[in-house]
Amino acid sequence: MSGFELLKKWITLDRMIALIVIIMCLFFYREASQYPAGGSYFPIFSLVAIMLLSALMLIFSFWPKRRQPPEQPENAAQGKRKLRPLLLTGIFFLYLVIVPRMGLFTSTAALICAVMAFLKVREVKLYILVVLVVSASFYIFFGLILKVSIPGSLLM
Amino acid sequence: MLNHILIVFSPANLSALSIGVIVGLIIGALPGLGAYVGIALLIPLTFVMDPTASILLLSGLYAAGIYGGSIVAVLLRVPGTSASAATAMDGYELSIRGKPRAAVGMATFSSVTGGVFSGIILLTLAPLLARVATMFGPPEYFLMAIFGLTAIGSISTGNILRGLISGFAGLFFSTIGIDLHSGFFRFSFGFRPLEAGLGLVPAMIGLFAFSQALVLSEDPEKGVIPGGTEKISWNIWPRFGEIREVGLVTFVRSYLIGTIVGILPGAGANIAQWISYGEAKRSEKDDLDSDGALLRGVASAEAANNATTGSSLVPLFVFGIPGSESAAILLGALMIHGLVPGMRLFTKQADIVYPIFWGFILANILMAVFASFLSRVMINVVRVPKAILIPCILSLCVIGAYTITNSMFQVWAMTGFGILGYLMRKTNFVPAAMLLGIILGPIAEDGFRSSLTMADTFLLFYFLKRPLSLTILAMIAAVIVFVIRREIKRSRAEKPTTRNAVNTQ
Repeated sequence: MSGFELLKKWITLDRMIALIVIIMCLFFYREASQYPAGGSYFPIFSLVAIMLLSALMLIFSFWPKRRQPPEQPENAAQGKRKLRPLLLTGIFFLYLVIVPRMGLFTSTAALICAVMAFLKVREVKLYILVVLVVSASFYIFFGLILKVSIPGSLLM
Repeated sequence: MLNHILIVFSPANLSALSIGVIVGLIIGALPGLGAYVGIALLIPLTFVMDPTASILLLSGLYAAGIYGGSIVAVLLRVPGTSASAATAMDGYELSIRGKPRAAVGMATFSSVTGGVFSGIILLTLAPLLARVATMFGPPEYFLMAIFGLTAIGSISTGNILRGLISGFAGLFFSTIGIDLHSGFFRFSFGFRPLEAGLGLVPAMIGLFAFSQALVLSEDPEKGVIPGGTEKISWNIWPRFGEIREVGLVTFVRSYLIGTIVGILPGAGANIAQWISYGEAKRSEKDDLDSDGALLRGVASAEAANNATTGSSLVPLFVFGIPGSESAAILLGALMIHGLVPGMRLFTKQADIVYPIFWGFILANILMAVFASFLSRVMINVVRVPKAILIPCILSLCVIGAYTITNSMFQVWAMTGFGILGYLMRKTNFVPAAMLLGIILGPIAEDGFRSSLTMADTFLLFYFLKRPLSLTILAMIAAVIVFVIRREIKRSRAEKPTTRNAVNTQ
């Protein structure tokens, strides 16, 4: 067994999570220890608790587990399923970048169309209906009734 | 008392309650969305409302959200929420036997009476228990926060380590920003928007609503119901003979199961319905497949799941410990509107809290009235494709997060919490425990720092010297022992199956 395969076998999800959490906690612990006394107590208490619990998670991950059914190799559909939330997040990030420039209404209309196209909605009627209903509800509820501030620009 | 009831009937409060109930019925009917998503999305709407109307709107949504799933569960075998899963089994069977009216009627009657029963428990028990809260000092408040995190983080999932890590991470997030005691900025790293801390609302919306949109996007076609011809009249009440057939014992037993399970932090409607349903089947004298037995199955599940709604608010209003995921978000809403759980709520803010309790009882009655008109809409609402729901949820998330401080930073923070919430769900961590940690963080920190000042010895010994602290420590230990024992039992129960599986190979 090569070193890479050995490492792949050793790094399970539990171990990876525990290690990442411990490393992050150590970083924040170092930062917290520089704060004036009093202000550092509670963050340090929380961080130490998280580190101890993560260490326990790491230790338990080495204990023999109940026999699990053998994992099925991932098929293309499952791979797509995992990828969808990631791509949706990507679309959403783009939306967040354009909101301050284009305004909420224009960019939300673009987001709705992009997400619906991404999720394979075919009917054009539905696009128009959803964009109109969402924009009108936002304008009426948030703009006119509740009078809350909406990120806007020339394009609204 | 009359004054408190009249406050509920003011036009503003009654409208808020009605809107909450209607939204709750519709959201409850939508598979994949629970009352908690609705509450998280609607909190920003309540910023401009007065506290009573705000909490009435959200508690109406909470009560109706559980029942909203029942009608579609009975008629289409699609439980709108996981709390209607048992109803779907027996209710749908009655529907295909040509008795949908009886099943829907029984679900309505049981839900309304269960909800009203739990509302009465809330109204009577919460003020009594609040007196205990007056005996609490800083150490007890700190330990109660830890107890809440332990309970909600472990009982609901069974994975105590992941639950506790989620809760303590929430406590840590609550420390980001200015330290009100020293004026020192913590973990802001010179980034100005972080100096005010991570907002509660972005955390709530992100952890529950945004992450739900990501979960829904995994299978946008799954759960979309094709068109059908289910018909139901506006009369959704059972006949007296059907109520008599179910029997008082079934109703009372289900109310009590729901009430007790609801009070336990972390348990909630989902667990209550199965315990009550199981108990109804265990004590069934007729053939399990008979119409009467099926009707009792529907009644037991529905009465119990709605009986948890009011009772889960008892520890919330008294100690700030929510009994369910939705109650955890409601706790956040209370804090946002300046309502801090404890005795003060029942004395200084009695004009707010008692109308909320009466409103909660009224919400349970209103939900049946509105359901009469909305039942057809609810059946069609189930057919809304997820591809339409997802962009609507995402848009509401953005506007909800933006309205707090009018800054895009909160929207980015909401997105961060959303991604974190999604990853937590995928790896069996507990977003509700994290949210509770963020909410209880400031109270827990105050208690922790005051305890350190008051303690003349090692902190744990100091806690052991105080009877109330000792009691709460014992409760924490009891929860941990309970969860570990349950895990051991579960693994023992699974072992023979494994052995059999090996032998047969």
